[in-house]
Amino acid sequence: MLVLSLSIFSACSNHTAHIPILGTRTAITREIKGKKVTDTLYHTIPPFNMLGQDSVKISNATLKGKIYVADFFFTSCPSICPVMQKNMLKLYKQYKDERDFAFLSYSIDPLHDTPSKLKKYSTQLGADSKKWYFVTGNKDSTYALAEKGYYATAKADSTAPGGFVHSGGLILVDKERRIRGIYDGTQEDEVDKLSQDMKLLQAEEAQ
Amino acid sequence: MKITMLKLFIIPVGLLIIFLSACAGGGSQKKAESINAGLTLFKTNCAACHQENGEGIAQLYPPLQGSDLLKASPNRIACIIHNGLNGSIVVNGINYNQAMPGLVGLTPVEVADISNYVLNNFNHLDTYFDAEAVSKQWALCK
Repeated sequence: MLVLSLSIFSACSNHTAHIPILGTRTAITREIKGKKVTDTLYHTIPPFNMLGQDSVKISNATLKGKIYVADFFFTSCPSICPVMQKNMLKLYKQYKDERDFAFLSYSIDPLHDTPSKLKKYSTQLGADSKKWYFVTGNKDSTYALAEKGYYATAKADSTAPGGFVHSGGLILVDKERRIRGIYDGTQEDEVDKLSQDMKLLQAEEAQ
Repeated sequence: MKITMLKLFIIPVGLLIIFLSACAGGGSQKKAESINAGLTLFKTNCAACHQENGEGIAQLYPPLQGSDLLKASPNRIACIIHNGLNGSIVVNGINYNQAMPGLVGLTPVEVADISNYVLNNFNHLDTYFDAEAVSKQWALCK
């Protein structure tokens, strides 16, 4: 009985919460000093080039050294965007004073979501443009970035409410531009999990 | 003899009282049914932006809960639901400027139901609109 409880205890103390790294991965084998070394190459967010709500260029370089949460939306969205953005706002309010975090909302309707429209929207939502970037760019590259980069659906669909179909996903990206989680931004419990994972990731990156 | 006379009197009077009270309750029953239908319609058509509890989102979408705009002009609601709203408005001292799309697909009955739900449930205004009232308001929309 004593042995059993001791072994259970040691198993518990060895347990550390680890947030997985998501996405495709490849193994690359290199030869270092005659020895074969295999590394894992993880999926990373590809480079992007957009215009932010202050009409300044926002690219992956802007997010350097930050853990960030990204989503895809459009300002005239009647369906899932309001609740997604409301939940992003909750996270933003929680973490905005911490240097490690940033927030990034991509518009999937660049035709209507000009930088000034995004400025108006984001200001009314209560977002500081130095912390929560609202970006617009080329439609095709944004859709490709969403699907291939962030594993989020985003495309024009005349039968969908508002004219676009897109996932309500909030994507957590670490400082190495790797995806660490995808959460349903319309579900409170998933947003709470995201908040916890942000803290865990912050601790992990600090090591 | 007496018992029969009593029965002849009391039963019809009793039935009349029941009938009349059912009629009197008919008005408030219609309103209750409308508000109930309005709740479902509200969840489908309005809650995404105005939220299920009517509190709106930040300075993006105004609250419907305790709205001074609705309290001041409850008759505007039918036009707002039908035509949407563009331009700057002030609700409870805060400026809102996001365009609201019009819900042109909703029938007068549906708009009446949503209006009754919003005005009674979120604003405690003891109003009641029916489809005819909504159609009349639509004719006057600017």
